[in-house]
Amino acid sequence: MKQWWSLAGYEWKKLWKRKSVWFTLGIMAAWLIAMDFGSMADRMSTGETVTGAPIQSLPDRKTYARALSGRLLDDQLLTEMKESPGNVSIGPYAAVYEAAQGFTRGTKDSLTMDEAGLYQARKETQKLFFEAYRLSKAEQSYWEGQEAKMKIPMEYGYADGWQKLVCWDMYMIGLLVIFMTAICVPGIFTEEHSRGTDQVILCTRFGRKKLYYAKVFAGSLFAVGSGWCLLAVSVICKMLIYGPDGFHTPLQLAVSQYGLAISIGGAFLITFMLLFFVSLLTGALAMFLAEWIQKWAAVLAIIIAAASVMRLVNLQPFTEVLRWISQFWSYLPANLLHEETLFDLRLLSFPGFKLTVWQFTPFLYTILTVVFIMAGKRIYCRFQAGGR
Amino acid sequence: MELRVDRLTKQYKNKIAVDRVSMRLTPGIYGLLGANGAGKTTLMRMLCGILTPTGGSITLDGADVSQEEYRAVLGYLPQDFGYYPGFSGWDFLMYLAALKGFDKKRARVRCQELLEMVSLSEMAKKKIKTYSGGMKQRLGIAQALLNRPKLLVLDEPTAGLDPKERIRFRNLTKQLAKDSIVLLSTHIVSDVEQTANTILVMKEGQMVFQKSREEISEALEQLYMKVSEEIVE
Repeated sequence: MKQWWSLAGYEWKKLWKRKSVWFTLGIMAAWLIAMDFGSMADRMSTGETVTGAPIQSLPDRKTYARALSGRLLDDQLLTEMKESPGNVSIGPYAAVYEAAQGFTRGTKDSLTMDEAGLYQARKETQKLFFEAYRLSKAEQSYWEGQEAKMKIPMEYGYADGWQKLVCWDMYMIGLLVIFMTAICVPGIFTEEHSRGTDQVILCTRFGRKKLYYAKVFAGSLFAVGSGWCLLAVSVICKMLIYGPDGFHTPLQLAVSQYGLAISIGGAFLITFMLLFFVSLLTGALAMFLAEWIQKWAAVLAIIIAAASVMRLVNLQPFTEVLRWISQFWSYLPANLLHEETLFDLRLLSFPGFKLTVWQFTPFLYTILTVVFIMAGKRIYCRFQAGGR
Repeated sequence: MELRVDRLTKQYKNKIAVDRVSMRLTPGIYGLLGANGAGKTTLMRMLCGILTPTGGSITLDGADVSQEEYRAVLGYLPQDFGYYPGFSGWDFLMYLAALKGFDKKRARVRCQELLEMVSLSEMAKKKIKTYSGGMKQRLGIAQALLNRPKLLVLDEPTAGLDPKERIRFRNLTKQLAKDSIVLLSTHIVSDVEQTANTILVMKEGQMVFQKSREEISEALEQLYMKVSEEIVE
């Protein structure tokens, strides 16, 4: 066992000896920081959208929204919001107005509603999603059952930092992890073939099965670890810019149609778990392809092309006709951490129970990871040093 | 101790690289000669278990080539020896020692010993990419000797070595051959002339000549030229 850990340590060392690993991680981390602080710089004063609508400055938003945190989104708060002077989009109630508008998805103006009307509008918006995604009666009844567990009226909480992490950053980090893994992990296997060290290591005592698992461990640890590093960078930036507030704010204030009674912090923890499985699966796939094809550039091209296709091809228009295909498409690694997939109302039905996408994919991804690892082991242990 | 090779064959689509080679090797040095493309490297790769034969078998004291116990007593220096440029010579040997089953303590002692043996102690902590060709070859020899192999397979081991190092290498192999089977393939006839107990010659995939050094009366180079031109019975 000690020797296995020793081998894993050497594989880890070999991986980090490559300059490309440092450059890639550095560039991605720098890009995340630049994106966050760049967008912050844009929001330091009141601005306008492309359509001319005003945008509240970040300092004002934080001050006003924090003052409202802990208030219930009820008749009293809605009345105060309606009676506030000036443009409500950039005034003291802008954050609450934005959350309330989310309930109606812009179909109605929440300034004209009372508490009952607002939550009714949310249910009607949810029904629109039921129809758009062709949810079965059983699925609709599942979500209606979940709604009964929701605390109404909801408690408003300023949670911009966590909201941006869940609804955008996690998706970007997922893509970066795929690219990072595609660049850095295949070399664990392809390097042995390109350098000719395969002949020496494969005829040693532990050069087959033991070394293979040591390599897989190092590659998987890198894939997961790099994802967590990039996430840590993103979390630190968000906390510095927006603050750590709102971990327990109801998720519905950010994603109004979602029917489970969880907080934004709970949603973040779910995406954190999913990021682990995305990293693991991508790493296993990269290593399998690396040992099968034995060419680093080819593996890189395949994974990046696949990830690009996954993101660029939009199966949304086919939801009505090809529900299962569009649902399967959303489970692919490049799409899984997108807001639309995370809070997809379509369920997977099994005898006696139903699972949401984030409940099902850990099992699916674990099985696929094991399949790729075992397939890669078969190829690795049967390697033939011929033709050279 | 005996290495048994029984009707070993390797066939590719249009070519038979190794054609029904049979031999029994006991401790000593075996010089394997043959023209380019004769099948020497293919034979050696099969003996090291990194190329699966199309037919035949290879066993060392009853252990089949595919078993871990066979690989545990095997040392191999390939013709195109690969390395990790970012590793130092020390790192590389320690890594190979771990692959050969050494714990860290024993590995340190053995690596130190081997680096001194191949005159690389001073370069041990430097990156392999800074080594000359001869240094890299000496490092390759050192890794092949890590586990005191019972079967040592060396494919062109003296390529890149200066005359002084070639002599040192010959002395080293003579020492090892007391308890081990050393199979050495080379184009440099003088390398085997002075060290090999048995001469093997391959031609077009077949073992066409196999005799002990004592049975050969003429100069090895002349014999090799004669054998290459015709099959000696």
